Amino acid sequence: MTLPITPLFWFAAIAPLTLVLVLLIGLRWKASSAAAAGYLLAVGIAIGLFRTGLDTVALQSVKGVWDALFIAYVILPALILYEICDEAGAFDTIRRGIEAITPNTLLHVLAFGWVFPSFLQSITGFGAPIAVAAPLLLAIGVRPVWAVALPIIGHAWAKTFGTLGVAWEALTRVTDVDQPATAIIATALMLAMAALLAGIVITWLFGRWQALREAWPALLLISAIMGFGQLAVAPFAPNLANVVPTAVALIVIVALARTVYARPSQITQSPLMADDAASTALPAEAPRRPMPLWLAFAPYLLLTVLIMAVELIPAIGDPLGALRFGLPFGGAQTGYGVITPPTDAYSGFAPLAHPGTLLLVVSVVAFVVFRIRRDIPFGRIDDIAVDAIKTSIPTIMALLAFVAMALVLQGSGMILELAAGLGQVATPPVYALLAPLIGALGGFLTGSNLSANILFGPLQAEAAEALRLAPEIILAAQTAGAAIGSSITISAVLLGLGAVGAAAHAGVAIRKMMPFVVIALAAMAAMTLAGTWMFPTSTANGG
Amino acid sequence: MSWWREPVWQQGIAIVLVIAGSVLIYLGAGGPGGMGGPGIALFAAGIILPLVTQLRRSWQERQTRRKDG
Repeated sequence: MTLPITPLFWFAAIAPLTLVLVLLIGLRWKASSAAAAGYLLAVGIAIGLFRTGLDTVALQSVKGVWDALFIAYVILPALILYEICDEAGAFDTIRRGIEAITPNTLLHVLAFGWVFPSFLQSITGFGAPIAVAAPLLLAIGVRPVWAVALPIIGHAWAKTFGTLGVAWEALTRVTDVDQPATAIIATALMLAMAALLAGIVITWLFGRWQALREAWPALLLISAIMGFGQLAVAPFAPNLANVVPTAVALIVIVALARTVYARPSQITQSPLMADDAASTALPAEAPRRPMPLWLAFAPYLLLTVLIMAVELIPAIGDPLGALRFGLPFGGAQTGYGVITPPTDAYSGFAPLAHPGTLLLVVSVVAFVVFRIRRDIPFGRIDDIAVDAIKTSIPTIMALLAFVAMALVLQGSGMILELAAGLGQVATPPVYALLAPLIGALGGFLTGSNLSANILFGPLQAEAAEALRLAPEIILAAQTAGAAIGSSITISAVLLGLGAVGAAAHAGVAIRKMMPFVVIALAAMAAMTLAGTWMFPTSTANGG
Repeated sequence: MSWWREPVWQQGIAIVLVIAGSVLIYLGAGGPGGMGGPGIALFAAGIILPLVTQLRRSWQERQTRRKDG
């Protein structure tokens, strides 16, 4: 490979992403337009500067469309389920029911914005934690943008060992780590910090110091269960490192709701909550027939049970996952020798085990049950379907352009340019500080902790060896950074906003999450630096 | 107003164009003549459509502000 690593190429490589962020956050363009502009710039730079053939650009774009369609396949059913539950009055029932268990809104926000999405991330992924948690937060009166931002912040730490540990498994496969125990402990420590930080940030956002004073026992207890639980389980069973502690944390938070936090929060006005919380969930219609709380929760509980069954029970998951197909693509090479290898089944899709299908099944069941109970008036299915389609269209368009842009960046070598450029100019301590940022960049651009690890894992390991830094620590920084970066990716934000019908606010949502991202990455950078001092060149010496 | 003049349905049309273009590009990639122009043209049209809508909207907003100011 002869890719020039120069300031010109580096700044050209980062230009499409910068343009998207400026248009989205700075100029408040719609996500679909910003993504389209970024895609066109990426194509221009790929062809004009990075010597990428039009056929390579076109095929990478097709791969992007293929990937985006399966994210869209979660958004549309999630939105249909949301519309059905909203129409039936389930969210109003949930809000009232939860207030009856504990009127403590702060605990509600921590439960649905932090613990529950972390649990969902531990068993699944593909946007399901956000698609499920965001409507529930909206139901308890959280503003739409925050209803998306909170679970994204809350579940970021669970990305690496979540989805049954696939991102971690991929990292170990592509990098051949000599001392996996050191790497796994370093990763778990960084992610434990991110879990605690997520809880603190969500609490702070809810009500600043007063909220922290009120919530600190719950914060410390839940963080300890999730963070140290992960640390304890990960070395022995990485694929269960999140499932076990987050399940325990769910039980503990319910117990806290019934005991320590059984009284209302002292914070009566929170910037996270809608001015009139009831109006968020209550349609302006005649009073409804009362719905039991269990029934209102039933669609999302059924969804959780189905996801768990598919992911955790081989007798169910294996046959459903057996039907799997992906598109074959030929290989490609740019003028600078950046190779995209051929694949027989790109981004395999298992339709029967996919969260989108499970959401559709639950939507049908929910509609039938609510219709039989007459919670949904006759003839409303047309309106629900049209509303869901109209609401999801801008999100899907943005996804198509954004994911295609990411694939063009990847196929043309621009993502490699970004990482290699940072690695080339850095001294060992500076590289240690940059390692989580490189991971985050990979996660942000690919939208996946797994993909970021595959893409940047070998490069980070190579850079660590060359700079005589412990690869285990650098790889821990890679995957922990990628966990944060892949959580706040534009496609994840769009997915969440799509699920609550607020697609126009992508820029605002990203801006709201930035402080968490900056603090988390800064803390990871400091931990990486400390780690490389504590474990100097363990593998470089043959360790 | 015709349905296709609504911004949301225009984006719907853009989605159809992008997907149709992708299918043609993919099918053309295996053929002897390369991936061909129609697929790329449809794909590009689908990507550009929302951008054109946004630029037109921004221009109209600027015009309105200028008139008000």
